[in-house]
Amino acid sequence: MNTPVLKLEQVVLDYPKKEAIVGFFKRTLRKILGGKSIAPHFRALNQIDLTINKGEVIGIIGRNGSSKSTLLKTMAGIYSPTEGKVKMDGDISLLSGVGLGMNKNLSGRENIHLYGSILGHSRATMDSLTGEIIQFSELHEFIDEPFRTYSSGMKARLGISVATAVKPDILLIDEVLGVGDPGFKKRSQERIRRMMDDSNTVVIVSHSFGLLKEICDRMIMMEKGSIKIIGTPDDVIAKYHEIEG
Amino acid sequence: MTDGFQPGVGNPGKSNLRPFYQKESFIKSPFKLISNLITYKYLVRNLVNRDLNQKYNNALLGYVWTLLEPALLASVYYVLFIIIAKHSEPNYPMWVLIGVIGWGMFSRILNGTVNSLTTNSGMIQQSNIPMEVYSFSLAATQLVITALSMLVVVPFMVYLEIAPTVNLWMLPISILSLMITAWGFGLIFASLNVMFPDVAHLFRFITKAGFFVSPVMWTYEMLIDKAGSESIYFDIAMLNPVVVPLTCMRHSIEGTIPSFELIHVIYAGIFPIISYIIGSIVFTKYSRGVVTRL
Repeated sequence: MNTPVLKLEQVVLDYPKKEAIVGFFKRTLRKILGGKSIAPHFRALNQIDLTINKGEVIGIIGRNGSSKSTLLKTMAGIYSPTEGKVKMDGDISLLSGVGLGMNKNLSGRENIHLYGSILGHSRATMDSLTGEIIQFSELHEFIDEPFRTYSSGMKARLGISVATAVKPDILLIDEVLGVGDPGFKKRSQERIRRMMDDSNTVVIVSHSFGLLKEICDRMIMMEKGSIKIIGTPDDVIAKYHEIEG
Repeated sequence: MTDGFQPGVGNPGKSNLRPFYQKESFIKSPFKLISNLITYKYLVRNLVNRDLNQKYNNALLGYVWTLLEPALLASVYYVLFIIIAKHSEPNYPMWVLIGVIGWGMFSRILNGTVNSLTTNSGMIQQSNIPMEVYSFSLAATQLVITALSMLVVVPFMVYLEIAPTVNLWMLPISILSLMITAWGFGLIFASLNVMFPDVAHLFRFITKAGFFVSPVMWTYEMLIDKAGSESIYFDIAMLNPVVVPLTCMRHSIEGTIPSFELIHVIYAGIFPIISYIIGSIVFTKYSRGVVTRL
């Protein structure tokens, strides 16, 4: 069944170049005087057309600076497109920089609640999930200690555990799967795969082609803000290697 | 280019796709802001909790600083004023203290709201929570701190033998109106500040200068005494939206009713509402658009 849950129509996104108030007046003055205009922005996304259906797992690859993360943030509604439309159906959650907003002076337990509420969960949801989150993160004896005493691996583990505890309708993942020791890495990948199995829609940006090939239904290769290739994982990866050499 | 969904193929009838940010009439903005804050009330709570923790956790005296800070500030201003004006009203130290607390809250919320998008740029760029949450939780944090700070007035009341009266009802209303004025006014300029950081500099100046033209070191009664209620200076001074609430804060503690002209009471009542309405409209319209500039 093809039920679209996320649809990008002719999406264009421009990043404005930073300018001081002087630059603004300069540009406005030039416009009024009819001189040559200075491009005030950088085009990060160019005419993106994409429809993602329910239950699909989409992988996005591309070189650094090919606007993969920008595309994901536009899908999440963080950036509003300069032109075109982004439409969605259901709740969207973006996992990017896991542990967003976590505070070093709060305890692990308080940070679970803080991060959970940043992801948009209610108090009741977080109360009911805390036990499970602590268990998955394996941080029982440290959970009431201040977050600053955690090692970076432990911090990441707690972040991943919270981020993957609730299943959103549409999950956007930006390069966050490679944290923790090999054991935890394996378990968190399993957990994310389980989230995917529950017919959730997933869009994932990653450089690990092995993982993408295994889990994706379709793949997209981005180049300079446009969709270069879209197709089956095998095709896209083969073409990527062809282009990149 | 292959595209999974084509109109007319599959199940287009079942599609419930809707745009992220629906174009809505600007009249709805004030209500939308409130409904967003209600939806994210747990986040607001956690952010307030975090900020209070951040402020006092590592300090030796912890929450005592909420009381100590305004008291120390007020004593400095008091000494200064005694030297300059040779003023010797027994209640004067308490007036300064209340002024310092009220004005301090107002200026911190105003500056904090104007800067709310730039200071939280990291979180804003990685999460799609409504952006008014950041400035509102800052305002709510300041409200908690102010409420705690007001306790420092109690020893003064005991010393000056002032018993609390029913006029205390003016206290929460004045504090709330200061908060809403500062937050609403700040919301108008928060998006502009992302484009031109000059706005923040301007507001830092405004709040510094505003200290002197607001009744912190002086009072409404002194203003009438010195300027006279007929003078143009009095009219100009009364354009400042914090004169009435700060004066009401003082009178509520002393148990007296201030003698304002009706027009000034109406002005003070309408100002926070108008600020909030304009602030919410401007913020809703422009804040999402400036995220790429952060």
